[in-house]
Amino acid sequence: MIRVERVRKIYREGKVPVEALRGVSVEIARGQFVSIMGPSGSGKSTLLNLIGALDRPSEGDVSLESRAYSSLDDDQLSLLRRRRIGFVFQFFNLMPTLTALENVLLPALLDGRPSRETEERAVKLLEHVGLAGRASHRPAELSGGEMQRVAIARALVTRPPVVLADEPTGNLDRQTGREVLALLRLEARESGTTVVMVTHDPEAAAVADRTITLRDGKIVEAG
Amino acid sequence: MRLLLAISLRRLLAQPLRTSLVAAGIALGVAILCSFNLLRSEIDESFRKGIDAIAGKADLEISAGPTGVAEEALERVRRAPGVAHATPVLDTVANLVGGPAGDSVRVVGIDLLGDDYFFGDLLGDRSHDEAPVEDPLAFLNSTESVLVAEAFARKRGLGVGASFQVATPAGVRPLRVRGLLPMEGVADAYGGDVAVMDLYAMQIAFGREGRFDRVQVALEGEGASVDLRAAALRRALGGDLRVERPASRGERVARMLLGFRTALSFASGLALIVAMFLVYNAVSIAVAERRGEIGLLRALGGTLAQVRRLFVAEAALLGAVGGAAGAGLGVLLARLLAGNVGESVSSLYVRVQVGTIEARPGVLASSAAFGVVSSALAAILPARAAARVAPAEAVRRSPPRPETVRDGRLAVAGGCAFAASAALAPLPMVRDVPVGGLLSSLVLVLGFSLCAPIVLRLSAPALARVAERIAGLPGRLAAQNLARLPGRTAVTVSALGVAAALVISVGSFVVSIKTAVHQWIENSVRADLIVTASSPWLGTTNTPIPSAIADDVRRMPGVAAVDPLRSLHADVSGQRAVLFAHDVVTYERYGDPVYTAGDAETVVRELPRGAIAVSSNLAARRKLGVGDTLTLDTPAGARDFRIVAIFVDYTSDAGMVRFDIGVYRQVFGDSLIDAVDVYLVPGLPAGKVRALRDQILRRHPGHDLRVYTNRDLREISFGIVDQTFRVLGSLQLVALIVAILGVLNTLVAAVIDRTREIGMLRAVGATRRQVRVAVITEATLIGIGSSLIGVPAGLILHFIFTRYVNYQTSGFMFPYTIAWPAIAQATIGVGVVAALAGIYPARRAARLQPTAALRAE
Repeated sequence: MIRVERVRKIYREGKVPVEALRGVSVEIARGQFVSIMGPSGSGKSTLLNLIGALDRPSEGDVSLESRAYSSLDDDQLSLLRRRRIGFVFQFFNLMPTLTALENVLLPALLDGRPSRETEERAVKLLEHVGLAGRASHRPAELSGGEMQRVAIARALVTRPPVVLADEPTGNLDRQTGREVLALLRLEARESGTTVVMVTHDPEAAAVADRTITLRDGKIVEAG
Repeated sequence: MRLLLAISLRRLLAQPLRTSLVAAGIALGVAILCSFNLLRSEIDESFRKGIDAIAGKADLEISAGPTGVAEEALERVRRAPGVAHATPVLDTVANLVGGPAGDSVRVVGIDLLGDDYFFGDLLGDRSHDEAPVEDPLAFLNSTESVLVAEAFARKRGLGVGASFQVATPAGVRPLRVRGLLPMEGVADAYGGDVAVMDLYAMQIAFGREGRFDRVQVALEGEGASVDLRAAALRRALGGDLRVERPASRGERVARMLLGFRTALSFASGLALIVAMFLVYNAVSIAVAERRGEIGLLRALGGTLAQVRRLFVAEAALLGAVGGAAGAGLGVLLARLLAGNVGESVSSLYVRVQVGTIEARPGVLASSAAFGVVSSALAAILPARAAARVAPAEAVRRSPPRPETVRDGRLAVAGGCAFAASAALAPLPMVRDVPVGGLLSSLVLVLGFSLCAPIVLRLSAPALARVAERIAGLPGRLAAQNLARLPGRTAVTVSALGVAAALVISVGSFVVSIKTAVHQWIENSVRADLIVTASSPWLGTTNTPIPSAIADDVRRMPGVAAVDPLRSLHADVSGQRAVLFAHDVVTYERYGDPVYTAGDAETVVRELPRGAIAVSSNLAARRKLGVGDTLTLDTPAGARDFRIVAIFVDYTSDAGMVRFDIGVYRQVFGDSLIDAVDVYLVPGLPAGKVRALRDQILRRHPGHDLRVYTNRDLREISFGIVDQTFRVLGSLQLVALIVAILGVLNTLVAAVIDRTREIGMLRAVGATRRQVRVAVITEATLIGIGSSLIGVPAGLILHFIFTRYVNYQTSGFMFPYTIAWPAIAQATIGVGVVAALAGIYPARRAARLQPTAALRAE
């Protein structure tokens, strides 16, 4: 399903190049709920970004459903993210000018006019995450937990085979974090989606089927 | 303070692009201001220096009516009590023949034998080792001898012994250079384009026998004030001679140019306002971006005043950089515009020689200071907003709260501004400056700017629908972003709106003038051919010709009638106006001038009996009506003339007084004319017309004659309108560029603000193209928004200018004409240039890496 092969990622932004990933290889099977753990700077988010086609590796390759990212140009990668990958970020990342429902529909809207079926699915997802009454609210009118639930609905709206979550509970209180995690787990299981989640929180990681641990840019435990 | 300056300086250097954008905007605004001030100073100085250089030690000048002082009066002046020295002067601008069009020389006639008090001994100045003239006697023996300023000789490659030709009323004359004058005294006037002749030789050469232009007087002793002694001299000399200080002449010229100067000052003021919008916008953006920094400063004990000072000082710093660059740019711009402005002033008002524009330190410094002060002023409001940031809120780095712009308050403020604008517009002039109209325009612009956020918010949903239909989701996001920070975006929209308003109001004003002039030529200037010498501008740049030419043309085959015209500027009750004399009967037979009071029949009957008609603008400015009298200086002293009609005329904004030419000749003893209007036999074939033109030129080869057709005249008139407004055109361009810099700055800031949003959009699958489309659409919508403000603002500005400002300064009531092409040009123009300004920020946004964008705080 997801295949990461001998990936190295070197950042050359400062004066000294920083090697965030030092030859990482991992495979993730369909339907798995995988958490990636590790201390700050261990390369967790870098790995997630590479899997999510948000960034390109310095060496090695990533593929999703047997399509190697290295063979795709920027537009094709955009389409891949739009149709095959869902994202949930730590900082909610909703468009402030769109309503909750429109935010859920965002990937479909980027594709043009969403189909009736997608629209119905978006409404249903909002119901599922408990925000049926808030469809027309804007992000500024929602709480942090509510925003993250909108983000989860958005990640699932196109029925992507993969959902990537970067510290999805990092900005939420404990109780809300638990609820959001349970929701993510439930929705993923129902739709058979693969979930890859970066987290600091052992409690969050415990929800996963498998935990990959990184340290200094290398996998120290592949679960 | 040093710490604050260090913070500002490093911040400005860290964002070189945006810093230079704002500095460039200020520089352009200051450049306009500086260049117009330089041009104004140059023109003023050219007059002042010219008058000073020739008047020299003279305390007073004696003049008499438009045709000058009769020779007999000189003795009277010399004998008058209190007069120590008196010398006559002839002073005229002569067109050079055979050189580039419009080239001229100031010829000054001085009594070289009789005077050595005022001008020194020019023929053999004992203070010089070498006398400028080898043989003074030979010089005085010839009517062709001249001394020319070294600069004049150098510019035209003339040495001693060389000759050049000038057009005079007596025909084209050769003048021989007998000596060169060093660049001081008389020679230093008028940019050095000066030639000096012996007065009596000049009388013969220029057909001015028996007359002087002025008599210069130096008074005896010190004693009482010059004004008191002038009054005594006035009493002693009687009513036919005018006694005044030399400087009064300059003041009258300055007053005549007031309309032109008002337009320039107003326009440069608007350019600076647009630049102030840019600074306001830039500082607002800086405040929004640096809330964390402000919070930190406040948390560590920075006071409110320190935070305010930080931002005001930063703006002042930008103002200083922009101001300095602008002052330099202003010199270049002034040099670029000098020719154009000189020609406009020469054809419309009075002949000027705009020489090399000097970089006057005073003007440069004041313009640069203006840049600093206006930048600092523009920063005050956003700096106050910065000081209001709560330390805790800023340090927490919570996203900035959405702007709370109170529509109600803005609407009330905008309404007040509109009401004030309406109330100010009709106020009368203060010291000949239409203060009411100018303030009204500025307040109007302010009113529209205050309403900009409301206009944006109200139009956003409709714009969003349209944009979504055209550009999909990116289009819609763009429209929604427009209304998101209405305060910030509105400033950009206002600045661009002001630029659009400028294009529309100036464009419409030009169309109004052309419509009026077209109609006027249609009715009032029906001659088939117009014969003049040297230039088509009667009374300003042409050379008068003898009336015998009119008589000769009258006898040529194909000519049905001729109307000889005399047109000259003269002082009419202390202000300049055009005295215009012609054959009233012939003119009224062919023409159909528009009378606003009185009629053609009265004019034909009364003008040959000594009455006058005045132009409607002169009547409006001096509050004259039919039945009133106007006092004019004549060679026989001041005389009252009865007004029997008021007519529409656009010849001069100084106004016109019309005489029958028979009466004029009798009263003023002047038989010269400036043009011959020729009416042809109806149906004369084109070939015959051409032959007639050739015949006129052939029969008077000694007069540098020009024959224009009616259509030529129309084209030339429109040409001068276009030329005059070309200066304002350069200003529109600058206003537009500054406004565009504003768009660029706003969008670059918006892209930085929304880095995370853009990253998220990219993460969920937006392509680079979609991101680009969103930003460019936003830029285009800013352009459209500014048209929503610019079009009504431009049309109302045009109204204020036509009805009040121009009417008050010139007395011309031009029809209010809406120039649709100007509106189309402005709206399409701002849309397109705004979109172009969006390209760079759009590329920048599209280049953002989704991961980097998501990491951004």
